[in-house]
Amino acid sequence: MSNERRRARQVEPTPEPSAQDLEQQRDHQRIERRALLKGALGLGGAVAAAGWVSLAPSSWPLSLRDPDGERGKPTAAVRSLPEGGFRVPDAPSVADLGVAHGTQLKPMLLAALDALGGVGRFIQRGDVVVIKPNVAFERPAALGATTNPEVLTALIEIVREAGAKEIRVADNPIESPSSCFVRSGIQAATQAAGARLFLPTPEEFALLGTPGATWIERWPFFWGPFVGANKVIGVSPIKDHNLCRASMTTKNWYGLLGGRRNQFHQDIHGIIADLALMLRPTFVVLDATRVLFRSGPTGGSLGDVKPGHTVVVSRDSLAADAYGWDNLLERQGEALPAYFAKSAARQLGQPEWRKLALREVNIG
Amino acid sequence: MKRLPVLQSVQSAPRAIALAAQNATKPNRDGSPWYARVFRLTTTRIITQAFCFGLFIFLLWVTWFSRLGGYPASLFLELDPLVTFATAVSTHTVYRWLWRSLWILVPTLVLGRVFCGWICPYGTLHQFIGWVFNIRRNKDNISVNAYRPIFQFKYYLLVVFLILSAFGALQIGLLDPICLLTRSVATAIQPAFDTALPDALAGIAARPGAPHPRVFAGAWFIGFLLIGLVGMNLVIPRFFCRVLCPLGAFLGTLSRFALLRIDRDLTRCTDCNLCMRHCEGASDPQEALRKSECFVCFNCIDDCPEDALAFRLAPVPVHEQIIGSLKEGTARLFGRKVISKLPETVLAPPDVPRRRWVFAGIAGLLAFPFLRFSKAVNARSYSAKAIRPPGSVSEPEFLERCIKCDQCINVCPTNVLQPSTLAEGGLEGLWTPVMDFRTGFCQLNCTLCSEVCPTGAIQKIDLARKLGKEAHVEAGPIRLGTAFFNRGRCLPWAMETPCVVCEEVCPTSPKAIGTYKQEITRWDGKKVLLNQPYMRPELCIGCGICEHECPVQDDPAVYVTAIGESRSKDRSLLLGSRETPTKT
Amino acid sequence: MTNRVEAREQSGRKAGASDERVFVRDGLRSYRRTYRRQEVYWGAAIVAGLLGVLLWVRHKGQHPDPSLYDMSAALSGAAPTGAQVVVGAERTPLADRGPGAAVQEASRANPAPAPADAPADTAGAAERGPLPPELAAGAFREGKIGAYTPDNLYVKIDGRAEYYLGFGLKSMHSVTLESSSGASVEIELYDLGAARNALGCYNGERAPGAESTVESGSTFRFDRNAAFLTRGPYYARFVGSDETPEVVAEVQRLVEILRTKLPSEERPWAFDLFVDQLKLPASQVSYARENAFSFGFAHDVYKVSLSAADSQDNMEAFVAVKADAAGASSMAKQFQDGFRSLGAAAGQTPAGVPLFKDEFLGSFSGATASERWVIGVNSAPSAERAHQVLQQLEQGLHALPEAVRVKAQPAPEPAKGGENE
Repeated sequence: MSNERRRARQVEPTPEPSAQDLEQQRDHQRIERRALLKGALGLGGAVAAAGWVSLAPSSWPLSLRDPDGERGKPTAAVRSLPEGGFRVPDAPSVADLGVAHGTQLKPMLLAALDALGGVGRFIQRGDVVVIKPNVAFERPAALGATTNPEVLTALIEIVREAGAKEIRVADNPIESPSSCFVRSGIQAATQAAGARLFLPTPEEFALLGTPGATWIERWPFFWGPFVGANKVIGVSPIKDHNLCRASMTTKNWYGLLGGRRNQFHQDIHGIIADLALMLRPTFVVLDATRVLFRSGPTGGSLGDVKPGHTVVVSRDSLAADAYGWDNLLERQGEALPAYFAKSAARQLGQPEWRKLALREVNIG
Repeated sequence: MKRLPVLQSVQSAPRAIALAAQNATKPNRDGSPWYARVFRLTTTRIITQAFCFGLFIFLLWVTWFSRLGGYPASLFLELDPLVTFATAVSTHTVYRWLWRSLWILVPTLVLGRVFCGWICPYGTLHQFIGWVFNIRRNKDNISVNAYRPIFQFKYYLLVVFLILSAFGALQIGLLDPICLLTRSVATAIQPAFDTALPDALAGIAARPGAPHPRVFAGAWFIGFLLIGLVGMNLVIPRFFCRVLCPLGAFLGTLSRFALLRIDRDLTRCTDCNLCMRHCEGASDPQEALRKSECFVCFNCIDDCPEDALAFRLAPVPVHEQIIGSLKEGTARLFGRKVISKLPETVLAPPDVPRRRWVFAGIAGLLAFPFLRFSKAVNARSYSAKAIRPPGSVSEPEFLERCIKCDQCINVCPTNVLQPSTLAEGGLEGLWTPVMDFRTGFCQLNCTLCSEVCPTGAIQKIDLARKLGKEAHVEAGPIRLGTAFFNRGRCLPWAMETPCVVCEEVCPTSPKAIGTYKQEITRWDGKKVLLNQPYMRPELCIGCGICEHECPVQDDPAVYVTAIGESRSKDRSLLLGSRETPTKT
Repeated sequence: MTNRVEAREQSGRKAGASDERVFVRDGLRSYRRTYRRQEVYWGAAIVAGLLGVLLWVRHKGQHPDPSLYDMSAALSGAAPTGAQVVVGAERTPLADRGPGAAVQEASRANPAPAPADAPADTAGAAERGPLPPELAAGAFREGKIGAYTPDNLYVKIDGRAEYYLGFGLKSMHSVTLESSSGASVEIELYDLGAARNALGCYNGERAPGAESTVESGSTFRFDRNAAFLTRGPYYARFVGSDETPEVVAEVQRLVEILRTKLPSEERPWAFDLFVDQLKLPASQVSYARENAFSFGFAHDVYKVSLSAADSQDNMEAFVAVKADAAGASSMAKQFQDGFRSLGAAAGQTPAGVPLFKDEFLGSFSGATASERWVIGVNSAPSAERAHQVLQQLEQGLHALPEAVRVKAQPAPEPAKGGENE
């Protein structure tokens, strides 16, 4: 500003503010106070919120306080299967093992189930049934490494006729699931019979708790098909296996495990005993229409397979396995694999099948 | 009458739609019916572009064992004329379905680069992104669609690639648009799509039933490259198509022979430059049309207010027929006054100076030895982990054929095939398929990769050939490599712990892994029966499921390496082994 | 300046207004003024073409290439190489067989992969050695078969290995058979190369009172839950885990199998002398490959025990054959020197054979040469008895048929360290 103007300013007296001006100024101050109050409240609120979230004791609502890092650790919900598994009540007047020989699968299965008291004993109207076949490998059914799709079809039909509301077929194969289900014929059989196929995508898995198990007290499990299910049927082929000597109905549940299940071969008999503890099925079917007696469990050559023309049905997977060991794999006289003893020690079955009531039928 | 573009109206949507419909069906000012406007050629072009893009995505989605049926999954790759031409140059053959590119070549010779404007799915993607996110106003639209010298770059690339192909190093797949988009969708977009998909829609997942999300080596780079190239459309519309696309360069060189092209009527054109507003190819329709850049998109015809542009059969340049002076405004053509000040209407050959062609040639000649004598692809020091899919031809032929489209990687059910990284294959082998047995393994009865390979880098094989059965018993099974035991890491050998998962899952019959049984007393007094595995190399087919299932996951105790693979004579291991049967 | 500012504000506002829209500006607007129906017709043709493409793709999809889904190859034929794994051919890893064993094992076993038409048995047979496969056929399950060479025998039978090596051991195979109740029987089968070695080995482990049975080429005895057998060049020991009838029966069965299945050999020439000529029981005949009577020079000596089982003395007649008479008399002299060193000279027999009396036992011993043979007697109770035995031996030798005399040849000298013969 130039000197003249400054001097002019100093000389000229500033006019007094009028009452109106003062009123205006007071209003403005009021507005300023309000703005201050709002700002201060907002600031205080933000600080209080930050303080609450970080300092309030952990149990208080909305508190994120984590003094030692424990709260930050990931926790996953652990599910559990129904108490007592999926078993139906005992019925002492019927047989424990039903064996049917022949070539017509549906009559064979019906006959074997009749020996156990009829399919109505196991499946009632409105049941949601999970059928677990063995689809571990991408092999055509004739090579005996997977469940026979015709047995699966017959079983689904029988279960549907007994009144099941929904039938689910599920397995977690070792090889690529999509190809395994297609090439083994299980996908076609499932879809033709009108059952629902579950593929093992990552979101279908959840942690399962099996109290008392040695190795799988908590382990990722193929949980999706079991949501809302109340009956479980296992149907497995009968296969030679270099490590655990044979793979039959008890080892079949291996296909429901997820995670790094290839570690369990370090104690294969222990894990099979754990599987027997984990899942107590409604009944199991030992599909011995073909017997993979050599080079199992993958097989790969028709020379490793021989026809068995048999199905064995039982509530007790150990008994069915022991029967298969003696009569179908023809290893009677050899010691049973160790998992039989381990499972029997936990009262999970009776390996001495000769002590059980057995009915054998020949169909065609 | 002003038409309200639907997108710009934020008022109540039903009212806006009704209004738009009303507007659309009003007859045109020139008396032609409304459908002549609504269904003009650019509308058809948009429909065709959408159809081809949808078909492309569908064919990639259907490339999966449970859906494949007989669909021509690699159709677009087979239609790609550069793929056919370059592989013909490198292998002197036209493999299997590659003749289908004639369906594109012939129309190109008649119409010009219709492929770029109507069919190419990558071009559609660029065009769509460039249109949707366009914030420019008219003036800027026009200036950004002018021709720039950098558009010559794709011709240099084409020359380099073709020279490399002549020497047997097929590298077009690096930048060919169909290969690039197939690769990006297969390795980056489909896994992302599957992850984002809510559970209820799992039926339309790209890879249904996959127990783990699919992972691919270097997918980050492929994805970022896609985003980068697509993002460049915000700077220059259809940047890739104009600057980088070798297929575009190839078709552009061919379209100089095209019978039809856009022709500008000098007596109507007022030099308003509105035709450049949405010119896709930046082909300068407002002056001398560059035939090799024109995408035949017809946007220029759509934007010319004077009807000066038309798509005509064999027009011959007229500027020599002009009588009078343009500058003074007395020029006349065939009796009518010439309005436009730019008498040139066409520029036929690609506008690349001759010296620059020579430079590109030299670069190509040098590129070959630079690529080929980088250690990674040489016979003397090939990477032991570069295991190719079953049915692959031997390595030098493989590099002549593989266009890095990654269709095999797309279809592989177990996710074992991975795009090769620079370390494994050098630049020459970049993005070619190699097996990584930590992510998956080769299923015994699967031949899908050989079915979808368009160029025969993986020859079509049937199951009998792969397994060495029936007619191929003498040749034996196809071996991908051989498995080896690292006994220091194997649980039964080095750690007194029973295991033997490898033997259990070995798929051959008899198994290629045998076991010694040994009962020992461990350090803690427990008696265990150890099954100690050993290899039977005559039976091993290198499928890798043993390595995949080995519980010592970080550095497996049994691992497969490329030696012993049956496709290469110089990589055989055992004396009695046989190579791919070409025996006389 | 103000104008510029205002203009910038205006355009900026306009630009701002247009930038607020998320999507495109003027997206569908075009400047064209005339339209032609011809375009519609071309468009319809093109869309029809697209529909044709769609139908074609659908048609292809529904008609897959059968070879893609044809699994018949997976089912056909045997393994590509034609080979089969022989069940039971489990062997110990090479690492356990000691140094040098790898070479022996490789030369013994079948090195090349079996061609498609080769019998699968040969590979298996090399693993089992002379153990017949019939062993596994009973109620006892056959366990792992161990194969040992002289170099690593100590791994199996630490401490006793020297004994067998002293008899010229070639190889030993052992197998344990187990029953479902946990009882077991272990068989050790020694291949000693020649019947005389096996015989000597067998008798060396026999307690003086234990009676053997000699039958059709085999000599064997039972001892509660154990058994011992020699046949041909083989010597077998059977040891059961307990004395239950099940185990004993199994031992008997196994002995029976080996007795019938093992190859026999022609019995040594000395049997013709001792059994045929001197009418002594075959079970009393024995053989010392080296160090007979603890004399270092005394190799390849046949002995027969002349004492009754329950008597105190331990009289033995012995005979050895040399290449020629000079060798025989030299060995006879060595025997005489040896006996002298144990006691003192005690005159001669009426036939002129010097006798020597043991310093501690008081028994008489003597040896002499007869043509190629050395004959002698050890620990005779009296000089007369010694003479009597020597006379019998002399006469027996002369009475031997020519064929046997020709057959009587000396065994190869045992090399240092007791290697194969």
